[in-house]
Amino acid sequence: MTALAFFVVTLIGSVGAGVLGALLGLGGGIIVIPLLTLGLGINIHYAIGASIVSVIATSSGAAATYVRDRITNLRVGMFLEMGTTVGAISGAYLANVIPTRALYIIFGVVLAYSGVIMFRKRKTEVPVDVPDSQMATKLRMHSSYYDQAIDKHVAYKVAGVFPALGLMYIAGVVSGLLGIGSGALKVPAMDIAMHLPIKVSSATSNFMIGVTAAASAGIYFERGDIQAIIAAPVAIGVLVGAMLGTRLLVRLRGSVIRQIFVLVLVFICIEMIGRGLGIALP
Amino acid sequence: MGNALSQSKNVDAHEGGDTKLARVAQLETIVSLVLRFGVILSLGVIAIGAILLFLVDPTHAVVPMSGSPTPQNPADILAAVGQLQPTAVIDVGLMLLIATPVIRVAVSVIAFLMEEDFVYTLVTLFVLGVLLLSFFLGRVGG
Repeated sequence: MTALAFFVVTLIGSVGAGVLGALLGLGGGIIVIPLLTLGLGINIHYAIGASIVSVIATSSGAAATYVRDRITNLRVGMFLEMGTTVGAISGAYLANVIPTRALYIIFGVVLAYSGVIMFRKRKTEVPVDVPDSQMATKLRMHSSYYDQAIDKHVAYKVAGVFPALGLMYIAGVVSGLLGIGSGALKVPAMDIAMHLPIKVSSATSNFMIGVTAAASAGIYFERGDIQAIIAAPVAIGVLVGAMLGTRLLVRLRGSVIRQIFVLVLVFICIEMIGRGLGIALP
Repeated sequence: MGNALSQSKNVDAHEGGDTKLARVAQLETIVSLVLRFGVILSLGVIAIGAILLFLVDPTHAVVPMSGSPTPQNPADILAAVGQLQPTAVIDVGLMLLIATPVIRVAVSVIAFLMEEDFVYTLVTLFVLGVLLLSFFLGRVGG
């Protein structure tokens, strides 16, 4: 395959990754890494480097719209970023130490767990019975947003502040280690632990994953893991895809998003565990 | 962002309150534009680099399939950009892209400060500090 052909194939695949990423608050890295390693035989370190770039691209490309639409809960996002960024630096360093295979398995297992829980809640549009949280009140995290799909202003309360922070550290480590946005860990953490409405979780996650990725990107870049010819089509493609994806998100109902999310999770889970066990999957 | 703003201060008829909220709202709009602009700018630079790579100077158009990564630092890259080396141009675009979330956080520090929300000013400063630290740590090793 010529360099140009590689560029074009990567570009097109990245657009798909971008659409899916913006839609689900995932950042596309989850699709880009298998595309590069399994599909195109690229060294995994370069794939991770390119993926980190795509994560930032998705977050910056999509976040501006969400923030303008006021769905993102900025306070929750910033507070949790304290955990993810520290985790991301830890993860980037650990990348040289931990056998990558073991991580794929751990990640796959965590994903499966999140998928099961989200599957059980899939009919719920807006969370009910949210427990009172003094911490969340003190930190002024409760908020509201306008849901275009159901044409209502939705007020919501926030809970589980410190458990979520702990989960975010782990999400950060995984992000720094695997070069993914860990939206798959962040969205369920906000959805389940903090009881945020799914759209707020997605939008806030989209905002957060870029910041988290930036924390490890510097380390990868200086290490030489971000190669221009690989990262360039990924960055362009994912950006374009993310802009398309955001148009769709505000129109879809929350439960549809959750169902798509679960399907994607299952696919990723099977692929990840397969990789960890050394099985090559199509 | 509007919701976060209006809920942060109790509705006590503060004389300068409205102007302050209006200014912060303006700042948030600016942030939105900065993000957009930063993304488009970095995308543009990357695209220019890609065009240079395939149309002008294909000698560097090699896909690295394996082998271990070689460390690179911004000073070398900027020097190479001066000579219009295509991959270096792309690298600059990538560096700009990596910088966008950092700038976004920096602006948030200012926004929270203007809102006189000191708890979140500190929270955001912490995040900014970690981000800047990561760029320095990259030089040292890892």
